[in-house]
Amino acid sequence: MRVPPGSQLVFNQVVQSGSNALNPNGTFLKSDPKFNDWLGKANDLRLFVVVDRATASGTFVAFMEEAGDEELAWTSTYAEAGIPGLGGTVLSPGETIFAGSDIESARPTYPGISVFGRASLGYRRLSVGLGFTTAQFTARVRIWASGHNGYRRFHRLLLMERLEGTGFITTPNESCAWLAGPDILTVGVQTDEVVGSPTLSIFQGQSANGRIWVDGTPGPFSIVSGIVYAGGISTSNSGGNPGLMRFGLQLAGTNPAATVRLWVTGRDVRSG
Amino acid sequence: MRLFHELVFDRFIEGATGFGGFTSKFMWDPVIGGVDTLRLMVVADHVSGTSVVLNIGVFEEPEVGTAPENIPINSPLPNAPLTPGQVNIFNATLSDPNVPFSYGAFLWVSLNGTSPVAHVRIWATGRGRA
Repeated sequence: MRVPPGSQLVFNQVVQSGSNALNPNGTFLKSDPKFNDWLGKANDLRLFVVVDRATASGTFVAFMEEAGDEELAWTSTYAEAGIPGLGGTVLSPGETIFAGSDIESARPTYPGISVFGRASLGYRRLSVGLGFTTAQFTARVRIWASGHNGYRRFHRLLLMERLEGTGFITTPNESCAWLAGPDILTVGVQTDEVVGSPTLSIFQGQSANGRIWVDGTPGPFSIVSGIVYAGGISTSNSGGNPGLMRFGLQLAGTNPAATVRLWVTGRDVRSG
Repeated sequence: MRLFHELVFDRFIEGATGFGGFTSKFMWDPVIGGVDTLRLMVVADHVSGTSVVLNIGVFEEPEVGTAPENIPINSPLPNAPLTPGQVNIFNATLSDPNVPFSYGAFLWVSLNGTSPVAHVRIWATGRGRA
């Protein structure tokens, strides 16, 4: 089901490739920032690309990036790989068309947070580049985006704390009820001012009465400063949410410390 | 959840249209493009000719009507043989919830064979994620 209505021309720029085979990709250009919020509303995106006015043939590549706060760190959804189906050879002269999808089942999650396949964080943008093949070239690139499924219900900074030591900290009690509302939850965690070489564990807690909690068994992962780690929890796959939910954070290591921000994005699977 | 059920194509086709073919009306493009699962029911009658086959393709587009280009997604009904003198009925499904459409999508219908003629009607039923 398409959400939100319509499609948007989110990228319309002239892009330049790198100048040689050792530096094949030129500067990657981002989609218009005014679409960062709009691109994050739907869980799945269909992307339609038209490349024309290329001055030489080469390659096209596009990355999807996500963020909890668009003015802080962004993370590349597919790491070093481009968006599935959205890349290939650019023709010159002529028009080249690509279509690809950024979808939940293909979206990797950060190790230790959840299984493969997760919903998107609250903000998204495209990062687009052209690759050198035989000559440096420029081309006009247009990308339309259409959203489907998993309409975003909320996206909030749930916790920002300086963690020192290995104590267990949870998200505010007042959030436990509304956090359990949507079908799918995604967490984005940004770590800064990291001391030492700690690991971080993110617990997903469930409760029926707010007093007895089952906090899951996360896998700890190593953290460094200035990075957003994204992980998803699809409660629709586990029989639905209980009445109350919370997240917990815990550092491990030798005298660990870090400033941690945790955003949570809630989505409903089918409703628009 | 069912999103719509409509007769999106109703046309007499005479002659082998090859790559020409006919499309469903523009008005249905954003409706068809809004779904994740598409079920087609095809009824072809008034068939005449020899070795008549029917082809149905689905194309997507980022803007309706003014799109610079469109690309084929799938052929839910490729080279379906039509029998003269009877009503031919086919079902076809385009169901891949992992690959949503762009904003618009439309059907492309063509006949092939020797002097093919048919009256083709297509009902489309769109649903959300399976």
